[in-house]
Amino acid sequence: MIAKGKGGKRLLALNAAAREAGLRAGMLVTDASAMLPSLAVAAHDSQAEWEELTRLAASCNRFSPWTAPDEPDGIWIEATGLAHLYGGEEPLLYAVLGYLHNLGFAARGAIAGTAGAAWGMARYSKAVATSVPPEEEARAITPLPVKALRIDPDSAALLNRLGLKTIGQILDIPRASLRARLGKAITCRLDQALGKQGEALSPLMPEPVYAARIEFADPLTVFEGLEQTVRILIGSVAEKLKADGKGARRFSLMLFDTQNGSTKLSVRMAKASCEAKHIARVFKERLSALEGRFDASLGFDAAALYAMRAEPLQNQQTDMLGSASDDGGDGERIAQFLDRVTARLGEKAATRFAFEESHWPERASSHAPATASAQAAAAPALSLPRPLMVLPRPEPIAVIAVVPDYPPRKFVWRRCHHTIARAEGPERISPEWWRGEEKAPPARDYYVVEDEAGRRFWLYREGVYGKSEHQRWFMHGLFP
Amino acid sequence: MPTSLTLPSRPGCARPNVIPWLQPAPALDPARRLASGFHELLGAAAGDEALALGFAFSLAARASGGTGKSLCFCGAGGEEQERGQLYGHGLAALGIAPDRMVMIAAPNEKDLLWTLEEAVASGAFGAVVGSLAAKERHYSFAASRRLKLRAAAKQTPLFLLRHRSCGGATAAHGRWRVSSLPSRSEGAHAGYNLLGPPRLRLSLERMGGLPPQEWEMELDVTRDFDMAALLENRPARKAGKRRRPAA
Repeated sequence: MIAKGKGGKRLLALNAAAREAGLRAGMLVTDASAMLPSLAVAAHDSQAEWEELTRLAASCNRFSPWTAPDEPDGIWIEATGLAHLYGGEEPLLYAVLGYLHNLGFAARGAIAGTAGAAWGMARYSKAVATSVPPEEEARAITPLPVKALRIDPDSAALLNRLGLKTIGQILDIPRASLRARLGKAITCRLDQALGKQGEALSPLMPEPVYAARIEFADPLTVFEGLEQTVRILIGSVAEKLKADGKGARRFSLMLFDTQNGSTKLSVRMAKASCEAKHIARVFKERLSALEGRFDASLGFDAAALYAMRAEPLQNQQTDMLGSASDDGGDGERIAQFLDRVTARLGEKAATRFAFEESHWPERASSHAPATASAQAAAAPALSLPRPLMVLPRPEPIAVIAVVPDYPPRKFVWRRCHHTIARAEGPERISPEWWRGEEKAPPARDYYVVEDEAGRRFWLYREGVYGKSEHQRWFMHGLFP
Repeated sequence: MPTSLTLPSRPGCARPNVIPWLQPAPALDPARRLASGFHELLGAAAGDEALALGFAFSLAARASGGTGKSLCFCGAGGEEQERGQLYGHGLAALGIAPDRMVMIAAPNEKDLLWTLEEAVASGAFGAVVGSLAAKERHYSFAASRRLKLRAAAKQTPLFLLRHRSCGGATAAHGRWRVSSLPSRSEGAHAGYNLLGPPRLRLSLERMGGLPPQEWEMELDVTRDFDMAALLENRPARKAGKRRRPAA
């Protein structure tokens, strides 16, 4: 691997064979070729490398829901609360390294109580895999070189020139003088490594609280097996949630295939839930949508279910016999119905009415997603006639025999002629000037008309009669 | 003084012989029949769809009246411009609180039938109203039977609106046709007759063993639809001579 450096192309990374031949990273390619004539070099593509690293980090979701790529060559994995799934921190670490090794990567790793200590131990510890016991970060990082503190190379070089080679030596120096000479970054990194200061890392997935995972000895290739797996995972997560009296609003199912790719299926709940049966039914809708294009030719070798946005469940009101009261039961049933519908048809499929204090018909009543608010608002009272159905975009109609200031005698809508037998109106609705719209629509004069067959329509004339030469008429709604 | 059984009709008033909706009619009371079960509603002519829908909502609200449960409307998505979109204030004008309404837009007929089945089976709704697209591909006898069984199991009334050209054998309890009638004017203003309460003709097309019958109804907007009046109760016309509604 080579890249442009000072004085020409320099070696950036090299394999074991090249290292044995005495080559070192940072050498000029010309010097290296002289030492090892058979040297094969390849240009470094940082973008592709970053993408590969991100993909690899995502595939490590099989171990933990919280993973993040760390430029240029690391992956963060949050291991809190996961070690027991593997029987300890060290087995977990070996599982991760073994997985990466099987993919053809030479990997080193460390588990520690702080991100800083883990970073340093993974890169500069003598062992390939290190697990730092709790509260022993300071002792563990003492022998490491100062580079292990995640400080910039210039500061590290300066410390080396001052004779400070290891972190242990820096620890003995008073903080104030360190900060005065080398800036705030170094004390900050030191505190982070020792756990005296928190650190925010950005994960690829939002943090879950409850998780379950399954690994298969043989890759899973049949859809029925997948359904079975999902049921088991849901059962286990739901049990954990229930034990804590919590429910989750979001569930993510991750499927990991043997080619180190991953598939994610998420479902959102209208209400936090920990009912395994209900969650399974919602997932069933998502899975049935997947069934048609289920491509398991590669096979899945691991699956994980993460519950996110867990929140305490409000206790359901029960009567003396212990059964849920009817009122709460209906709300619950509607929420469960909506969960199934939105899982199958999409978030926008279910709506309720939303009202706004406005005279403008398009604004006064609209449709809002039903999952967003469990309870819809009541309609503001309006004694004026309003149609049962409105056309989202009013349609122009041709009018015949126009009577001044009254609705026409006849009109043509969608190629059908209608003769108006009865009418009421006008009701003038003006645009709301206080909204400051640049192109405010003209005022409308609305009429309710009934044709000879008894069908009722909501028509309007655009503009004020007499002011504009062309009167334009529109169909806006239908009455029962 | 001899007593008369018929109410005197007031001259100039357009509401003679108003019989309250809930009072049983001699032959067959459509109100009672339409209060439960699974019914299909069809418009008689182009432009009757809004009327049929309004009538279905009134029936749904009536059927679930006392329970205070929510209502569910399932329609085909992507047809809002063609068929219009439900308007909250319009629903309120029919005497139905819009906050009781849950609306589902299904992208295709298969999903629509699935949604209807789920809505009925959830038991969460006081009544369910569905609206099928003009071209029916999946609504078969089997599909209607599934709906009927689900509706019966949870005792949820289901009203399914179908296009006027659709027919065929289905498992629904009844099939009704709704056509609009000119309202009775209540005065005139500047050359125009004013609007009276909406009127409709309800025809029973099929219901286990019953002969076809027709009623004229008027929506009493001053009160509630469940006070809507049954104006006339006529014997059925002969089946072969049924008048084709004007298109």
